[in-house]
Amino acid sequence: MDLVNGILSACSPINLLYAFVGCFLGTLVGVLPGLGPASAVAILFPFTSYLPATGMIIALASIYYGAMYGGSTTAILMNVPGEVASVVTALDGYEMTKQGRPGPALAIAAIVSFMAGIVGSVLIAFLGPPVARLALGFGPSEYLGLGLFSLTAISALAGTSLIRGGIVTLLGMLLATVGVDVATSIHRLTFGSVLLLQGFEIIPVMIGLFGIGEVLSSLQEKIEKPPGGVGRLMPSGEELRKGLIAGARATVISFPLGLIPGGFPAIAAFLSYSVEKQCSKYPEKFGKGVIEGVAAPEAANNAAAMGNLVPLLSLGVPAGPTMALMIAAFTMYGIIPGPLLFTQHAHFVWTVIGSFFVANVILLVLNLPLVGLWARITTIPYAILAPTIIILCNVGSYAMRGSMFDVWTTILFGLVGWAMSKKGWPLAPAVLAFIIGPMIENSARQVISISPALLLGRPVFWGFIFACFAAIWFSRRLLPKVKNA
Amino acid sequence: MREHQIVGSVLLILALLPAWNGIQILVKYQNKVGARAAGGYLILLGLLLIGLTVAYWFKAGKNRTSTKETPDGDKGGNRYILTGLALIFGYVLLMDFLGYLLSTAVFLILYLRIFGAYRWTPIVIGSLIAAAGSAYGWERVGLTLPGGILPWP
Repeated sequence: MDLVNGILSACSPINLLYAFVGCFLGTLVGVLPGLGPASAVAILFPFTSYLPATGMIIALASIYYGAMYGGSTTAILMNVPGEVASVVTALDGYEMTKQGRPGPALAIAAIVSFMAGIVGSVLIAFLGPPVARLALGFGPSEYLGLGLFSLTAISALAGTSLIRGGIVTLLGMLLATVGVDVATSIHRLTFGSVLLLQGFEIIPVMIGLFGIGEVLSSLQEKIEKPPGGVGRLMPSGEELRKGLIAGARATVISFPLGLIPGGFPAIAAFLSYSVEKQCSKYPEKFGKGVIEGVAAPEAANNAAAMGNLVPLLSLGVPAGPTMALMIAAFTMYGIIPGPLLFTQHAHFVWTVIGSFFVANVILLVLNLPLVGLWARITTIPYAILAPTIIILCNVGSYAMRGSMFDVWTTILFGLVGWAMSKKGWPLAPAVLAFIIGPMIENSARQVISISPALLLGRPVFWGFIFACFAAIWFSRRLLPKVKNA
Repeated sequence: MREHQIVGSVLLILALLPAWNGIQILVKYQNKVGARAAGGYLILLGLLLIGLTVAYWFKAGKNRTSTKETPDGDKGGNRYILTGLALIFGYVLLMDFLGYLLSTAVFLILYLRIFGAYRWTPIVIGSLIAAAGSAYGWERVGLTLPGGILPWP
């Protein structure tokens, strides 16, 4: 009943408008070369902050889904993935474009994304409240364990090196300490600077890392010209059948992955592609333009993204950079995501979940007919797109606090983000550590003030510690095999 | 100096700073409740970062392979990066003095000329329209941007 009411509430004219505009803008930004979902949400975040709480979350979620689809569009048409997850889509998607069949590739991407999104939305509705009820029994020990597991998983899974992931995580945690310590009012890492007293805001940092940084990276890379048109749009009956089966399999595999912090859609996409290839009667054709090679990663992408929302809503833990922005959005309105969300803000959260259904429908309706438009947008010269993105980034950063310090923060982290990406250092752990670090510090302080021996009798805490080692083992042993399959 | 040594040195400095700041807090606020936790957390993070930096230094030194090397033909790409950075820095510097409208127009003109190689007349006209139009748009949605030397926005 809550879900039905949530869907009805999400179908109000104003919420439908927010979802539609969010999907449109998200797809528009996602289609731009070099920009992915995290960039789209980061850049557009400040402009949604003028909306009411429900509207903002609906708009941000819609931007996220739209940008995921937009990133797939550039992956298929131009071999320029909008994000890591779309790298897998490009393997077969771009081959299909070269064979003159971009339309079916784009269409199956939209259809399986829709399917995965709807299934994921239903699963969130069923899993969210029980996980939240479970988390109501969490104390500081459990939150300490959850925070440590989240950061370990993200460090281990985000890149190819655990050491680099760990270093970036620690840097993110240190960044979060700059400013005034809330508990004691002691100034930390301010070095006497009045500007640093206010600390760093997550939004300008993310706009820098994922907005300016990507623009700088794109200046260096040669971007292929996209093809003129997309030709026939819909796949044949046989292609549709194969695509749907691949998409269904990927959804089942990927949603549980999304529940784990660090269980990025990218990992789900790689894993699903690998599984699909192994299940196929003709694995040698993968990478040469088979419809399953597009359907599996696209469905996986969306399913894992939906899965990411469960720890966000029920535990208050972001599973990826975009979810970190969602937490910032919640916090702006004094809504704390976590176990109490489903009780204290029931109408709000069910409307948001209902909006996921609505956004997925809107995306399918919007993107299939407009695929020609998105293809045409990719032909806009980058010399015009890049300054537009830079201006949006600067305006967005300034809009947060009306401070030029935030704009300089964006530029600085844009440079940092570019340098890190160029040298193969992961960005996501820093962002998540920025959000989760304070939670870990607060929980640790509470545990120490009660008694460190408290940890001995908390099996959930030790369960999370075991999960840390499991994440490290998975990243060392299994993940390289999945990516190379 | 090899790349990993430069990176390692930077990381070491970034690790020593919080560790040192944490020690300063412990010494200065030794009687304040919670000071040990506030300073100790910084020291812990600093020490962990030192440990991982040393591990990185040794591992990178042993492997001595670089990841994601830019190809030789990408010297042009580095030039674009430096030029792009210079333009962005200049844009933000100017925004505080000239205001959003003028700084955006100047930025667009220079960027389009350098990277787009378009002719001056359409660039100047288009940039002024884009800057003025966007300033009007931001004002309409209630966004206050630096006005600088102009009375509007």
